[in-house]
Amino acid sequence: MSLPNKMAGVPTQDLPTPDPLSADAPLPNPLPRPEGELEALQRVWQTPRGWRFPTVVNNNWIGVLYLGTALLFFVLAGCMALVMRAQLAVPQNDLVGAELYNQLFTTHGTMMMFLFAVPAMEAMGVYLLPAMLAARDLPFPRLSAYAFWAYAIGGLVFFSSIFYGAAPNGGWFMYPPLTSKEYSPGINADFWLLGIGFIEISAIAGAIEIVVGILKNRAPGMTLDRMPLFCWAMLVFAAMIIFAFPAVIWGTILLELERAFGWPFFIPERGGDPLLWQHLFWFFGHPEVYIIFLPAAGMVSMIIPAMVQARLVGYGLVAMALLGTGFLSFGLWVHHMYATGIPQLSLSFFSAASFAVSVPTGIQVFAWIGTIATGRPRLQVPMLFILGFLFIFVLGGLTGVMVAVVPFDWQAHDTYFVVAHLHYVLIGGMVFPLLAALYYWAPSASGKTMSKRLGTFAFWLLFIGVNLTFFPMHISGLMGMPRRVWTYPEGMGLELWNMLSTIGAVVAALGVAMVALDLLRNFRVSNGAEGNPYNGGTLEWLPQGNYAARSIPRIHSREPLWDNPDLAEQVRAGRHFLPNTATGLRETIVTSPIEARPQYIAIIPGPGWAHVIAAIGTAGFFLSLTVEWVWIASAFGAVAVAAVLWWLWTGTDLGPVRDSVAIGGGIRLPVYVTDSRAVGWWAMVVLLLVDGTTFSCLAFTHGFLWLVNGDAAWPPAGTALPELVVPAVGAALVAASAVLLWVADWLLRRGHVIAMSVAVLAALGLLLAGLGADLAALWETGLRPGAHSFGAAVFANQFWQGLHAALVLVMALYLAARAWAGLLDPTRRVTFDNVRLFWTYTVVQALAGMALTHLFPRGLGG
Amino acid sequence: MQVAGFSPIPAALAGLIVWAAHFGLIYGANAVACARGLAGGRWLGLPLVPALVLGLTALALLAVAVIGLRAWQRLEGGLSGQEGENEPRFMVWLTLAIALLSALAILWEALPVLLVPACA
Amino acid sequence: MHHSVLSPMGPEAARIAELSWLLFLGGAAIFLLVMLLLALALGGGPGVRRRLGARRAILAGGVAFPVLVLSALLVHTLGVAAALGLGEPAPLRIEVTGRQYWWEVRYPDREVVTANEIHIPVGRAVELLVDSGDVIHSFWVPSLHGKIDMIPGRVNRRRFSLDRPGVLRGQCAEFCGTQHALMAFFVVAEEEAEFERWLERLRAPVAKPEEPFLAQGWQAFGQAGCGACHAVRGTPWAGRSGPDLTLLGGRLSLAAGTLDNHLATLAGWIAGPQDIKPGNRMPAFNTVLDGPELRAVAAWLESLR
Repeated sequence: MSLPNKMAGVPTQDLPTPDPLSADAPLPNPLPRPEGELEALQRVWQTPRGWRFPTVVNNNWIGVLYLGTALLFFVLAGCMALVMRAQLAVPQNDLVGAELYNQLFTTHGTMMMFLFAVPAMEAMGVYLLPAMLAARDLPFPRLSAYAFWAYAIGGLVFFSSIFYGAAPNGGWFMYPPLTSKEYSPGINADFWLLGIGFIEISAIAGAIEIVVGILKNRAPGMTLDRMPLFCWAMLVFAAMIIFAFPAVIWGTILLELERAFGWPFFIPERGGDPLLWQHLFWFFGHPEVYIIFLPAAGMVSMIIPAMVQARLVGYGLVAMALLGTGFLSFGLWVHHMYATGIPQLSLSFFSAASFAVSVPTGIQVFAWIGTIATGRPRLQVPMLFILGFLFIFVLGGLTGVMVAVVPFDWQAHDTYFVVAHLHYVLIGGMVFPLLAALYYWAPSASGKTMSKRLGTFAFWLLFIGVNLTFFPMHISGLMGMPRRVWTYPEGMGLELWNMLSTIGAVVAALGVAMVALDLLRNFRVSNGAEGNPYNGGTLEWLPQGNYAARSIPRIHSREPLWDNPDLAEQVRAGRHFLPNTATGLRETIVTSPIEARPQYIAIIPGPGWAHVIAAIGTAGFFLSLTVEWVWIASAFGAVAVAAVLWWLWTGTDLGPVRDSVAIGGGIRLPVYVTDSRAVGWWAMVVLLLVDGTTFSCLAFTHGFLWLVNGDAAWPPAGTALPELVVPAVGAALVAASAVLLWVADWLLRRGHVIAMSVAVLAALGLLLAGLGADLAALWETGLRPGAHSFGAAVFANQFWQGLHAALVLVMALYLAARAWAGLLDPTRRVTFDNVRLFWTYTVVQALAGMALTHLFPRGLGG
Repeated sequence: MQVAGFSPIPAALAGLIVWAAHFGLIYGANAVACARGLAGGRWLGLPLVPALVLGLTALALLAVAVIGLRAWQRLEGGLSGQEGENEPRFMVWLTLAIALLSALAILWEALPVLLVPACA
Repeated sequence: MHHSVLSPMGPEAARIAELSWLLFLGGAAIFLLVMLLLALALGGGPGVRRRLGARRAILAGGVAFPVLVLSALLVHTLGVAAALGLGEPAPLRIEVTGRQYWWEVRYPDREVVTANEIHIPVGRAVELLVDSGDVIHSFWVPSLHGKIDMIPGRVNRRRFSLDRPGVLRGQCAEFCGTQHALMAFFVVAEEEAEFERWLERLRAPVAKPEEPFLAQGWQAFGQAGCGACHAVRGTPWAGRSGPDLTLLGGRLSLAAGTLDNHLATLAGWIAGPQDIKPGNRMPAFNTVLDGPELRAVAAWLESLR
């Protein structure tokens, strides 16, 4: 993707000399600052109080709430683990029966993955990124707040399902046919599919926010290679969510379509294949492990330098390692399918890829060791957790290389050896760094460090407990104990190892309790926290208000606070960029993606109810669908859509509220841009990447089912596709809608707003007619989704196109309404541009979808 | 003042993009060959799957080599670090480092074809 | 009884066990080395720490070392994997179908069917073909070979042999529903002659017993409808949705490794299988058969050896 000169920031001729971003230039803003400037800033960024508190959108608050909720789910899922360990303490125990045990392990895994690990990392991103980037906030604070509320409500309802026996019981991996309607007729599986499905959507919303924030909201001069490594890690983390989560969302859609309507994607008697699910699930599931680990690695790369007071050795190598891991981890998914009978050579490719991914991890480990060696290590609580992390994670990484070896994995797969491995990697690689981060960054939110005594005590309990719990599992696994068993027989030599694991779990739980106690006693969110107790070098240790840093510093190095001891004072005094609210609204500087040159001032929305109501509506929609309350679900859905529209109508595309504003250093920035500099444009492009990935999964579904069915059965005998003429007409109509949209653009540029809206509605008609013609032609041939996986795949394609058509319908009507309300003109046109981006994508995807339905099977026959 | 482009990011990732394409192609080729019983066939006098995989590997390594060499030349050509948005030195270095990592991954993934039968 | 990865009973398992030891020892050595370096970084002398803190140390420890070690390991493990691959079809074929929560075992060339127990002659190459009758299961006998999934709509294959006589325990290794934990089986490795005798007995049709108590059991078995799901060779009962019961009395366990096999456990199982293994497909027969009938059925089935 190459974006030409359109991306230009401040035009060269406007620049005063010397470059105001260079270190030689005087500080951007002079003293004294005008009276009332700081007060105005504080007023604009005020946190809502009392009953209005839920409307809060500021990242300080949302980040803490988000993390607190994630930690709550960690404790709840941990309690489930304790019950399981109690059940397994002795052989042939009957403390909990098989059914409850199966619900417990399914819910434990699901919650730890979807409700704890990923949200906790997103929370750390939401909380820390603006401060580290010295942005006032991330570009879409209401989106983060929406993601948080949807997750919190949905997660709590999901968790509570364990109390009325409705919790999913098919494993967190949900393999069909066990999870199909035939073998799981209850709503337990639907709870997983719908409950977790929309939490994945919330994770994607958070990821979009993080990608755009990191690329577009850095402090002026913070080039990519001056960016803190946590930001690199979060960038890779969010990008991985964007490419990995669509696979599981698509799989979830297929499984729910099969369960609800009998479309046989996974039923072999009707041309489906259970392995299709495994491919889709693990294409998400393996990257997921690294999605959880990479942000933690980023935190470690931040905490170690502060703990040893030395710059990280090998910054570039570590950044490269993060990117490399992000990519290579997508080549590992069959790693979980070694025993499924896939050809040996294919397995070997994945074995080799698993080896390759360990190289970047090795680079990071040695960079950390090297950094410790160059500094003066201080054994404070965060450092203890980092050392514990290195011990546990390196061990887990080595067993990871073992299970990448195909013949060894045939033995270890689905045994307690793997349970040991994955907990070493996830607890070592994620929980320990998170606890280090909690102790390290707590002062930035609360103004004081947590207890060293309690923290040290907690560390030792956790370190001993975790090793005592999970090390013996390596042995019990090799001795023949499979995973996911609610009991095991006497006399196999498993008694001792299981008892040790149970004792270890109790010790670890005491460690978690210590941390909780410390948090309750010593952590209070206080706005305007100051101080830098560990003498960190990065911007989150600047004096912070609700508006983040008072003025946005210009950056010349990776550890600005170490290189410029006066920086904190300069920033607080308002001597850097944008020390005020230039428009009287919440705002932040948008910079260019590589060099962080200021481009414009983005207006950021403040507190509001719209996104909260939208979150309640979304959660209500999916949860009522689970229990098949279709009418209530529709009502919730309508509320959600209405709230989103209200949110967009009142909070986005405000237009040029001012001509341009001065931010200091002689730089004047526009407050409204419409081209690819705009954060909204970036968000839409990232969303389309999500969409495109999902469509690739759809195409993969077609290709995979063709492969397992054989050329002759695709389509199966007795199934005819419509003559090519009808879909060709449909395709022409769909393509024509894109052309008409181009006309609408031409009209808008000339100020013919009403004519533009007519063109848009006409284009909508063409799109719907084209897609409708295709659907009708298919239906007329007698093709049905329930008979065979061919029809199911074709109609899944239709379903996906229909979903997009529905979105375009809403967008077109919204656009027309904006036009009639006078909120759209040749300048104020971000709404139009974003709709057009989505629409163009929809057209391209529809054409590709038609090719998949009509041309792909014919091409095989020829 | 340089143009504020995004292209250095995908450019830096070029090596890994080649890796992804190579990985997808060799996995897909072997899956189709085994599922359709084509693995017994021959291509250029060699067994089909190894020949195909080695051919794709040669292509991929060539592409990665070109990416890496170009980056190397630009680094050696004395980028000052002030090239601005389109060519910051760090991004060029990143391009090279990622190309090397990708080459390693591609080589390792091609290795099994010499040792393991295609469809057994 | 052998059920450990590290107590192999045949060449395939032995090869994997050998590889496992290589991995454990190599992994332990690397782990200790990294921890040693970490300790030196924390508290070593200035010279050591300076060298550890150099960029070159990252490239040596993080790139050169893993590339060398992993390249060697990759070549070695691919060799092992290739050797464990499927060669020519072996003369003795055994088919196993996984079902919730038991195993159907067939010897297609010998035309016999049994359940939850596989007899194998030592020293013979065996070709195992597995599939599933319902959900995904996984066939795993740690002392025999790695696991292989049983997937509806697919047939997976594995080749192995056993070196010496003995009893091996196997268990389902893919979560398959409520009673996944209670889905085990046994592999009996025996000398060729003994194996042939076992096959002979399995093939022999079961006749109505002479002894009155056992005959009452035969009668009750038929009247209670057991034959709708179970088969006994040579009798009118040929149901296939439950385990074949020919030679049941000679098996090492009941209900797929759940219970020891004797008269009392069998009678208890027939009376209330849902109390012992809730969620399995067999209904309780304590409402259909009275006490003496239950005991008679159990006695007759136990007499099939």
